[in-house]
Amino acid sequence: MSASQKSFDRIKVLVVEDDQNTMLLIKRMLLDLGVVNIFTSDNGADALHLLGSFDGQDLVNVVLCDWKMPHMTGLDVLKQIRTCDPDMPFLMITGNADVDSVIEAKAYSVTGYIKKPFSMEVLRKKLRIVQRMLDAKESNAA
Amino acid sequence: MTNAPGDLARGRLLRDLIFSLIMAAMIAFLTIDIVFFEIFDVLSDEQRHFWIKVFDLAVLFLAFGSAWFAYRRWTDSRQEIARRVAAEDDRDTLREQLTQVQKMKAIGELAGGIAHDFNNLLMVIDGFGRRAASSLGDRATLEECLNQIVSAAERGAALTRQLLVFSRRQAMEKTVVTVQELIEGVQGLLVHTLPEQFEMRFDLEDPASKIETDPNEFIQAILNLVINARDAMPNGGRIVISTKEVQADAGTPNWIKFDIRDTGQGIDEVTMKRIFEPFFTTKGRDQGTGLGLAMVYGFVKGNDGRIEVSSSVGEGTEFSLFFPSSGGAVVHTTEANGEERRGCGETVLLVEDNEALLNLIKVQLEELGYNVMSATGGFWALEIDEDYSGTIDVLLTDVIMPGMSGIELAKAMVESRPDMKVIFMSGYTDDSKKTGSLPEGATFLQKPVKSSRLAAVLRERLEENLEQQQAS
Repeated sequence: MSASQKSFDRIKVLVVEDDQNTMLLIKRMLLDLGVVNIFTSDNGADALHLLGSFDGQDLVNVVLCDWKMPHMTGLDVLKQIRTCDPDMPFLMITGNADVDSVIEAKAYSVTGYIKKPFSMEVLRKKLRIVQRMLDAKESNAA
Repeated sequence: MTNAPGDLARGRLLRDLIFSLIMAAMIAFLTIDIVFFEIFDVLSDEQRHFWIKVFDLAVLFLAFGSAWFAYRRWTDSRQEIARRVAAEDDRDTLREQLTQVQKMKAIGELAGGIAHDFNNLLMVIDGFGRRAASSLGDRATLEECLNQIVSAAERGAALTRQLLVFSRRQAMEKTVVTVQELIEGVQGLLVHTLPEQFEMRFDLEDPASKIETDPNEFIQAILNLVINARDAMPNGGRIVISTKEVQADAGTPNWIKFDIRDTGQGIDEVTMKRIFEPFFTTKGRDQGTGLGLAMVYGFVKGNDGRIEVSSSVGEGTEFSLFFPSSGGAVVHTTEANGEERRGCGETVLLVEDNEALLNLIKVQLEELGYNVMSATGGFWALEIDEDYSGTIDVLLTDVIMPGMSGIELAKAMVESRPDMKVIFMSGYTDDSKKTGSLPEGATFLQKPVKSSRLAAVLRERLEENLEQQQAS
């Protein structure tokens, strides 16, 4: 509904994607959308290390994570994040809708999905929702 | 090594005695010194010098002695204070440990009791569920099995309700009611509860007095007390329920006092100390859960009231429940009796993170005639909000959800849909402590929500729109 072009300067995103080309594309799109705080990682372990080595809530307020990655899948990353932060918005980037995995991810409170390939408009919408979530949380805490 | 308190006291007494003697001697020497040598001047200069030296030395010695004793007295008092503080600390630690042990015991009993009661209910559900699955062709058996399952689920809901009232986390649906209305409600139920050998008497001194409470919970509390009274009189007897308004201190509302008196066997002192403990029961395992009085206690406290008990073994027991009187206007509930108020195709956005519950409520709403969109969390709900250009008449949302609470979701959505009505559902009242207070004017539904209650509340909120439109 709220279709206004919101600025995403308050969004601090961590992108976890093993494919370098896709990573570059997502980063480019995020920059075009006005997101200035972008952290990247090409594997789950580094992403968790990044989140764990700082106060994740201060540095990052949304995680975009690929579903299928070697060694550590998106679901593994989600499970680990949920052990210490049950509320961190976590958007799974998924290529195919594997129903069982989706159900499993729901059990770990995945915030939402972005299906590949996705357009700039789709990403804008998802970020706008995350922004609304963060705003509501902030206004509720005030 | 520490001295026994008796030794310490004796030591201190001896020292005090010596200290007093030294002080007395010093005063005596000084007096002699001043009176005889300075005033009367009875001695020759030589003698005077000699005795002055002797006396001065004696006084100096005594002064040092008294200073030393004074110092010891001071250190003694400090030690005594430290000893007392340490003893007090020890007592506090012991008291805390004892409380902790008692708490653990209570939790153990609570968990055991809950497990016992729920296992029984689960056994019923499991048994009849399996029987139903194997009797799909036999309609009568199937119906009987399903009825048993529904009944077990209702008993489970009643049990959790009692637990929640006890823990004061139950969402009480409070309204202002008169004493007369409450007692009429109690009377209606007691007709079916008490056998003929019991004489039931009601004595209402001021039936128009009002209190603010949940009438259903009130009736349940009185019923629990009456059932206890009945069980205390195996051969029958008299139960009197009387009410009166009691004057309170200036500036505070009067108390409305409800007395429930029986002529039963009474409660002994040992039992009296434990009557409000959850799962404490003097009845057989099959006759009582031990939650009745705990529920009454929780209910009264939840209404800012108090409870008093007096009992004499062999003569009877009297429970006195005090509730603050209310000055509010009496609200008559308008919930339709059994008849569900249907929707007219309005759109409801249902948000609930428990998928099984989400599906159940969705089916109920669709059967009531609503157009339902559902989401398992705040993000999905906001996606629907972004994608759906039509009107969402009602947001029906759970309060506690991971990632985004129902309250936060409502705040985010109401910005873009100011006319949308919001109804919250939850199992607890103090969810608001974790998620922020409920917005003003929000409707709150206590889980489990019956279809009839859901239907009534939805209509109530939706008709507000019509009234507003007509008014403008």
